[in-house]
Amino acid sequence: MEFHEPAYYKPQWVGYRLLPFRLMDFDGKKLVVNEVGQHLLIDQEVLDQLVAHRLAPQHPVYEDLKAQHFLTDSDSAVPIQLLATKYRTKKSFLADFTGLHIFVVTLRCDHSCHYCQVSRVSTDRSKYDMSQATAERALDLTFRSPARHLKIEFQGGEPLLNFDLLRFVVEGASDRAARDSREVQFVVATNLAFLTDEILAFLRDNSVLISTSLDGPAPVHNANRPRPGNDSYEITISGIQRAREALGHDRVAAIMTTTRRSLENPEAIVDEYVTQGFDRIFLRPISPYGFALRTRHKTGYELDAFLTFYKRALGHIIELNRGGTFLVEDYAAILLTKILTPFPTGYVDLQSPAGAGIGVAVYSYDGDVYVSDEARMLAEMGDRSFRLGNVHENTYEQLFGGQQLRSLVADSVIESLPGCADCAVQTYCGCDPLENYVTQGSTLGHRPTSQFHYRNFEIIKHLLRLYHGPDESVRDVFWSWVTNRPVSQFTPAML
Amino acid sequence: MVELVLDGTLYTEEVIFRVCYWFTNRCYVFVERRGPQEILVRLSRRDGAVALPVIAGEFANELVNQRVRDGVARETRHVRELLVAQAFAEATLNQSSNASPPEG
Amino acid sequence: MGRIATSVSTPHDERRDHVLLIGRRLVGEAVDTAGYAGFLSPDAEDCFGDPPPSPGVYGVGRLDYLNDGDVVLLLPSGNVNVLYRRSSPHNTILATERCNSLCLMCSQPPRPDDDSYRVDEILRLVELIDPLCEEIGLSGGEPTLVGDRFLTIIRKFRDLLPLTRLHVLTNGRLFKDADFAKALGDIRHPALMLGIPLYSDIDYHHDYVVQAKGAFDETVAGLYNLARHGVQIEIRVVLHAQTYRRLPELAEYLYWNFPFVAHVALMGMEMFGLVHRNLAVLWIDPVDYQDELERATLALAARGVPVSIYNHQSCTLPRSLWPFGCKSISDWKNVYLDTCRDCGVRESCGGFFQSATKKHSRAIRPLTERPVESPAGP
Repeated sequence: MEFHEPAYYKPQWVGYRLLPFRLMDFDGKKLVVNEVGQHLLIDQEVLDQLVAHRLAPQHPVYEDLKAQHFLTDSDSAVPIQLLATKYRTKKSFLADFTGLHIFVVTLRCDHSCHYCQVSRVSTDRSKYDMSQATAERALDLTFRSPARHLKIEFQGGEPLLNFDLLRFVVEGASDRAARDSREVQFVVATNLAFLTDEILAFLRDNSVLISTSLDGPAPVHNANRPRPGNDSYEITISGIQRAREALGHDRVAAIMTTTRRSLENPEAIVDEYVTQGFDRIFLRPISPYGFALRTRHKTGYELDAFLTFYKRALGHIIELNRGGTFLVEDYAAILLTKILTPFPTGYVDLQSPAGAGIGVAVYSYDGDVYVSDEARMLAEMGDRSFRLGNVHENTYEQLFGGQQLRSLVADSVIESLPGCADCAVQTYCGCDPLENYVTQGSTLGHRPTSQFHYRNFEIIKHLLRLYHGPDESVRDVFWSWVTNRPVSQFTPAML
Repeated sequence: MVELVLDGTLYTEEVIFRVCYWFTNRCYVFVERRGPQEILVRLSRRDGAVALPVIAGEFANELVNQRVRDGVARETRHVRELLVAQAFAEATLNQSSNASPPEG
Repeated sequence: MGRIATSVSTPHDERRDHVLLIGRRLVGEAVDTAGYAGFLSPDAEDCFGDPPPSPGVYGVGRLDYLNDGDVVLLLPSGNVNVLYRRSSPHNTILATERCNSLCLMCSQPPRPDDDSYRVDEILRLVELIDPLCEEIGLSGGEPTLVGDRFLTIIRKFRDLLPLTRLHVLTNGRLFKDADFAKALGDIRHPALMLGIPLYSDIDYHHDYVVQAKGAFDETVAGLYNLARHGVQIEIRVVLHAQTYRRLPELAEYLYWNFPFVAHVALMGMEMFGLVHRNLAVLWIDPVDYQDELERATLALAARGVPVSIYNHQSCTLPRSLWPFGCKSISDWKNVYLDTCRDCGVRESCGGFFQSATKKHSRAIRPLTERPVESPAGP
């Protein structure tokens, strides 16, 4: 029995080949990111040696670069095979094609939210309601999607104002799902002003999740979301309570929209979410569409002000987590999933190719089909460029396989966009061709002046800085968000 | 207005234009070919507070970065195409992704 | 081969599966010994007549550790092999002593002889194991070296012992053949787990530890193929001087490339087998790799990968890792040192292998703390 020295197992070193990666300056170092998002921070000289093929195998960073697939020094096909598998995992959301189907069941609403991207139509005009015939066709199209898990989201106006149609869709979808052995999840985005016991019972019995707007404490919320009586906050809070009692605590979620008024109050908004018993908060920027553009003087704000707000809110949320309160910031969680894990995310607004039309489809009350909610807003303002067709006039193939959608997808592949194609954080970011179109005039957009770019670039860098900072507990908090469980559950209970 | 004379043997047109692209928000960028191996880039301030010498310095550094990027991209292009092709080829054999997150 | 039966009331149609264990107390009674697969007695005399029934092994001395349901193999040499102990949670079956690696720290040094007779024994053994057995280990050498018969064994376990968790220890190298991995996946054993070692994120470091060129690539290809075909995998890492340095990096490598692994076992080294020959390159006091072990374990835990630490005593682990430590040493191997007598955490500590009495950490000392209660739970 003969044992060999380590050198026997190290093939003669004849150099290495580079594997694909991108780079940029980052706080005095170089950030290098490979094709699937694994990243390292290295010194300038290391990068120089690396690309000049002069990095020695004994160098302390060499083995890290090799193990993380930035270079390979053997003939083995294994690194490529592993990279291909990881790449496929990251893009696996494509196999499901359209997973999120939004049904706009009515345009009627009782609120006049400043940032609303929908016609403000008062509550008694039923010609703005979706008909059963339209719903039936939309369901047919929904179930043509190959997605294993479908999600149907009800929007409006205020969807509960057309509860009969909502019920019709839920029942129709459940029947189809049972027949096809597929899963479908339901969500209704509602302002909770029209809850009845009958409605709540139906939502409970059909496992419909509720998503409602909570913009912050009463002053912020009511100022953003006017309605007759100016009591949107009170209605929301009592609605949340009532809905939780009927459906269960975790069946009610809240989303937040940032406006100028929100900007001064990051901690108060976060605290409001904790007070109301939520364990998730989504710090979304205001989108530059629809009425938001028209009422820009009320809701407009500089991007830098939003970023300051975001960082303050995020810092406060991290502190709360460190103190034992489990509260996830959803936007960070999505980005961190891309940065820290091999897994994809289902978030359609940060995907390449962009999710518009392929990850999400919107069926408006009149049967028009749009690639996204934003596309529908544009149509409300007179621009129907992103309308795919109508459920009564077009087939599935025409709508989802037609030239219009294909060219939109072609324009939203980050790997080939000007400015993005060799960006270091490409794998963490995404595309929004509609935001480009609305703010910059073309779906391709102009990166240096793009809000979408600036916002995401800054947040990504901020998260990277926090993760690589001196504070171990911040990393733990980030991992708790990515794995969706509190830090206290990292360690098993002692037996 | 600041002028940079760039050596065409060090920086290709593609590298130069990719860098210029990123300065079009802060500057007006004028590009001119001076000779077979010489390209002139003029940057004039568009708006904002950053001084032109600083911008010129950033431009010069980005040229270096972009050249490295370009080199790596060219060197790894074949491997990149290979791994993407392999990823999508096997996707049909392996529809049910075995890699699912620990939490739903 | 047969199950131990300690009473004479075994039904006649089941006797061919049983070995009757008899003792002096039955002398004088008329006993019907027809039909048994074999006989076993601690006594040399007065065993059911003259000559005593055959096949039988007599006069072996104390046999009181054998119980009903245990499976023994009576050999012509007079040896009695205990193949399965019903009351033990840790039964391991040896598939072959042949191996295609030669790990520096191998605790079951390989032998090249053709021992395919073992497979026949195993196939018979599966028929005799208690169907309520919770877990069985299948090990070697390298079990997959028996080729297609490996699949036959797994199939038989699936058919006869569907409630039994089957834990196979293998280096996974032969699963570089995608067809072999697919064949295993197609068996659809309801509770199969392969425990596969990976000792580094760098190919030549792993190859050195297992003393086989190309082993890393083959194992990685095997992991990939097995995952594609739905086979559950546990990664095992034996901790010693050649594996501790890049342990945190290995954790990251596993997470990015094999995020589907069901469990990671980080194992203290047993002073057994080939370890003694290679002690100079293997030995490191466990307290000297606490930092790497802690970083690797907590990294896996944060990422949601189930991870356990085996074969470490509580006094050699940082407190943060105590909840990950298991009482993993087989009950019949587990001992404590004299110095442990006054230790407050003995109950939850893993203890030692017998072999540790020869060499162990300098840090072994009684801890005066009470055992830790469950930390703040969910």
